[in-house]
Amino acid sequence: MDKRYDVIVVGAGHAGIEAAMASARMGCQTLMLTLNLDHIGQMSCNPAIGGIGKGHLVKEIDALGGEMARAIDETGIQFRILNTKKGPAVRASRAQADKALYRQRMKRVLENCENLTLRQASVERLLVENGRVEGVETQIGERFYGQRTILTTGTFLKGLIHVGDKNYSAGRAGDFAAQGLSDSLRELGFKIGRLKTGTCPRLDGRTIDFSKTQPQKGDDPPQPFSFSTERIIQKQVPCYITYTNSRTHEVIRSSLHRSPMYSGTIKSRGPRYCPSIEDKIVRFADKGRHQIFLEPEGADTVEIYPNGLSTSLPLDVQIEMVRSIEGLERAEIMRPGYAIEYDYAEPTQLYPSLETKLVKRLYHAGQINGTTGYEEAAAQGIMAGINAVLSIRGEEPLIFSRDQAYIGVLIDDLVTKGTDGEPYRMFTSRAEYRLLLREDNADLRLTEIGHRVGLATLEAYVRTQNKKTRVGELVELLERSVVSPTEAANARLEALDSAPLRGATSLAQLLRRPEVSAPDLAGFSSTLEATPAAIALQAEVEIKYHGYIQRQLEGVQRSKNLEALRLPEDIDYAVVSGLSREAREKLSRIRPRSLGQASRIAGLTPVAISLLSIYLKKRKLA
Amino acid sequence: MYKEDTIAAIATPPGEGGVAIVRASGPDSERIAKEIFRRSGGRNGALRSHTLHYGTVQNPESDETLDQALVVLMRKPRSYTGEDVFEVHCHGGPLVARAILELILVRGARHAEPGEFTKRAFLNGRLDLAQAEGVLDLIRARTRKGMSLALDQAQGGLSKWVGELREELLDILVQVEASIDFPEEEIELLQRNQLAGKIGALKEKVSELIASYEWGRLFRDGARVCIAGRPNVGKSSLLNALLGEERVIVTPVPGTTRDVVEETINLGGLPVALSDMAGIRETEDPVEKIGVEFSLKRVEAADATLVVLDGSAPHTAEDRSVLEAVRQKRTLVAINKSDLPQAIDSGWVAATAGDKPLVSVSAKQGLGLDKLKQQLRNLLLNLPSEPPLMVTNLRHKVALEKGERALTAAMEAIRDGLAPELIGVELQEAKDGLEEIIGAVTNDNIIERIFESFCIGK
Ligand SMILES: Nc1nc2c(ncn2[C@@H]2O[C@H](COP(=O)(O)OP(=O)(O)OP(=O)(O)O)[C@@H](O)[C@H]2O)c(=O)[nH]1
Ligand SMILES: [Mg+2]
Repeated sequence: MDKRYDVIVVGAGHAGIEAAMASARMGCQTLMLTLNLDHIGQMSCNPAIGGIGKGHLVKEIDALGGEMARAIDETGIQFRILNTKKGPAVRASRAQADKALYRQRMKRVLENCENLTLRQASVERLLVENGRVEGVETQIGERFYGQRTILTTGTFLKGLIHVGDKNYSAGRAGDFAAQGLSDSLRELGFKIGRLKTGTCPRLDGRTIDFSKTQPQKGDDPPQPFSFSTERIIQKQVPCYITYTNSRTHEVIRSSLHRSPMYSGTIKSRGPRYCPSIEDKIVRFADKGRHQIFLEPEGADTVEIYPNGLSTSLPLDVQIEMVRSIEGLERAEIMRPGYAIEYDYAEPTQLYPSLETKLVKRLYHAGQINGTTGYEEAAAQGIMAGINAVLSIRGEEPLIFSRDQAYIGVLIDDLVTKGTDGEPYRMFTSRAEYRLLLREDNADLRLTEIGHRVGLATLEAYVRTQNKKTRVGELVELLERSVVSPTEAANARLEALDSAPLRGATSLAQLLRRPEVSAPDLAGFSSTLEATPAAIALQAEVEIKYHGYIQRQLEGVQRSKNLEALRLPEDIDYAVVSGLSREAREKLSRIRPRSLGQASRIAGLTPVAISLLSIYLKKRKLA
Repeated sequence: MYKEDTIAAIATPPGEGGVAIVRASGPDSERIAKEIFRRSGGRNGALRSHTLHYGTVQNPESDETLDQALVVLMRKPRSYTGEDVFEVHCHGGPLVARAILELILVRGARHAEPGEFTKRAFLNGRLDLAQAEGVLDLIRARTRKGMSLALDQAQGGLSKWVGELREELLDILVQVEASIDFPEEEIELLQRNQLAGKIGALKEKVSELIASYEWGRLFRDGARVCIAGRPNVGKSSLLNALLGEERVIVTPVPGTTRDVVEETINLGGLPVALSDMAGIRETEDPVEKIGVEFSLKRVEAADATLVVLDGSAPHTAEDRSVLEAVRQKRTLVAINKSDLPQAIDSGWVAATAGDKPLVSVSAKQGLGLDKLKQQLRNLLLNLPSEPPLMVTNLRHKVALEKGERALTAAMEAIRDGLAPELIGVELQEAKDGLEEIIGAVTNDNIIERIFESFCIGK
């Protein structure tokens, strides 16, 4: 009674969902195994999707034909665009989710997905033969066979939750951990490390005095994530802002010895961009207060997520700490905050396709690779799904370059540099070609590719092609249309705080002024007035940033030379003369695909790169 | 291109030093060392690395002893080149060292090309690029001062300084990047004008370094100075006097010098190539005419001119046209023949020379020469005080100029109110410029720094 599938996905978190959905939609018989069918698409930490760098990832997933953007569009209760005062390249979407709805929505879509089977099971062991994974075996001895297996096990591998000096084994609060699987990986020879992360206590909203806090409203109208969503229809709710104070800090400081982070119980390092409140108070002692965002966990629940209060202090301290904060004086904790330690597999053990180097046909995606964040997980999930299918089809894997997608930056960083002992999160400053990788053009960059591999729909493809054409036409129109220095025109400009015209000027020229945006010019051109916002924005970006974009493109061109120099798979670094022992070790371990990738390996000097390029030349001559 | 053979050369400068060093580097070093070297006391077996051994250098074929010597073997990677290296410290004098080198070459080494040891050191990661370039400059240095500049660079002086500038730049970049990636955080970022101020201060330092290139170049390659003046004012005599030898023919007949004579003098460490040329005048003599034209061209190309006037005679139209010809050039005016009664109209000289410095000398009696040298040096260096560090390499200067341009553009972007990610593009480019000198370092440093500097995270 063994069952055979094309692709087995272990895990049904944000990575697992995208992996399974991609595989099934691309026509492969797909099995999704999860510890608990009621917790598919659970948001274990804060109830929000997107943010700077992360919003970019979500749009890219959407452009490829993924699920995350549409799910949040259907279940988000507050949408905001961040960085609106900055340029379009770093503008990013963020939304609060109704957690329960998000979960239900994901489960529904998975259940209705063709080619996809869902099963509740605890995978204990990989079935590996001749260096190839053949399937998985569960806790109760059930075996599933698949041509490809994708592990997306999140924080569940040997998860250990800490609250004060108490700890217990769990994948997250309320879920079992997966005990056997990481041992199975270790036995196969994988290097397994341990990471730590944490989450906030959840508060009962009925016990919070919101009148003492500042409300923070979402954008009106809310802007959707997905290129296919026309508008957000569900009701929107505000978040609230409050602050810690000196008493809060005092409470924490006097109980630090009871925090597992400071007593030495937890040795692994947590992410610095998502520090616990204890960490913030210790590391930035001179800061008088820290911001706390009170985020609703859903429209239909009273639970509130106090973003900024991540902690693993004992419960009595958590209560005292929370109640020292304005507006939270009478707040009741519904679920305690905690820290969690878990196993992860060092991602330098992966090819850029996310297939492991050690075991063929096995893919890792999501937090198992040492990343944090739903978006980072989902991005890896969709790529693992696509590449598993491409590999079954006998096609080349889909690997994005660093100038093509944030997904490319993410995976290249993971497989080249690894995590360095800290969970990896996306930032726009990780991308060298930030001006090219914008949210607004994710569809233009990726939808065609997503469609070609059989994931993005025909409808999405056509929509994108139309957008491309219309943007081109609009840019041309703006270059061609000339405004004369009439009184009316100058009055309009004055209203924008922009200098009056001296002579006839093209609309494109006006748009190059920093203070002028495309909607501002609607009055000058009826075509522009009738153009959808997304297309006007795209044309604006192309015109305004033309020079800079051109420069980044030149940079891409220059670096392409190094990227194009492929390092053969079978290269023996021991015979490359002149390399230091360290360089040899790193190169043999990471086995970069190109000289460009080699140059990004931490600690590899420019000299080592010149030696490699000399070696390549000699090898070609030989 | 990097070949894996063994190279050898005499490492000490030619001449009669007390000791000469012959050096070999490459995989055959140890074998060759064993073949040609007999340790005293009849010991054999492996030579201990990084230890001086005493013995004799012998031709293994003929058993002929070439010299008593100290030999040191340095196994890779702890050697100058990062390869197996051995050195023979033998008696000075060209013959001994030459014979030992030949023996090594016969045993299978190849004569090293100039700078090849350094090239290998660079390729093996023993020196960074700026250091390697410093060593090569050192090899080519023509005066002690030029040598110490190159030495500075070889020891990492320039890399260190540029590294510090890069640090400063990263601190600025962190501000920009943090404002982009963490807008929700209550972090205290620099205001735009503060940011522009910091960038401006950094740009100043980069500009100073660029300005020092002119100096660095002069010290390394030397300055070129033309001695110009009408015939018979004593140009050749002055050159002889500055050289301290009778290099050029001196006669009372005007138009004596026709070919250019170039000789180098050392002005406090600054190598100066002085050329004595045909006197500049209207002439019918076709040979002299060519000489005159040539002189004028040469004046054009020189770093500075030394105009010589005859103080013992009234000025002539030719003097005027000489001064006329150098009006745009850096010029020192020497009024020669100060030992004779002075007949030149000092008012005319002052008016015609403008703000060009004047010095009174006698080539014949050696009067005022020190003053002239001092003035000439000041004129060439044209800076109040020597900068602490000099850029001597054109590649470094070009990279610094790229950085300077990008920093200027960043300030303009701030002034024009452009978005921070565009300011970021310029700062990244400035960073690239600096890293072209010291080698690239990965992008992650910025993110690291953001976390170190700010309390980030909700
Ligand atoms: N008394 C005196 N005579 C000098 C001095 N310098 C040069 N003379 C004489 O001036 C005459 C010309 O000197 P040169 O050095 O040949 O002059 P020049 O400028 O090189 O002349 P051309 O090569 O013909 O252009 C010679 O007779 C020198 O001895 C000086 O300082 N004092
Ligand atoms: Mg002469």
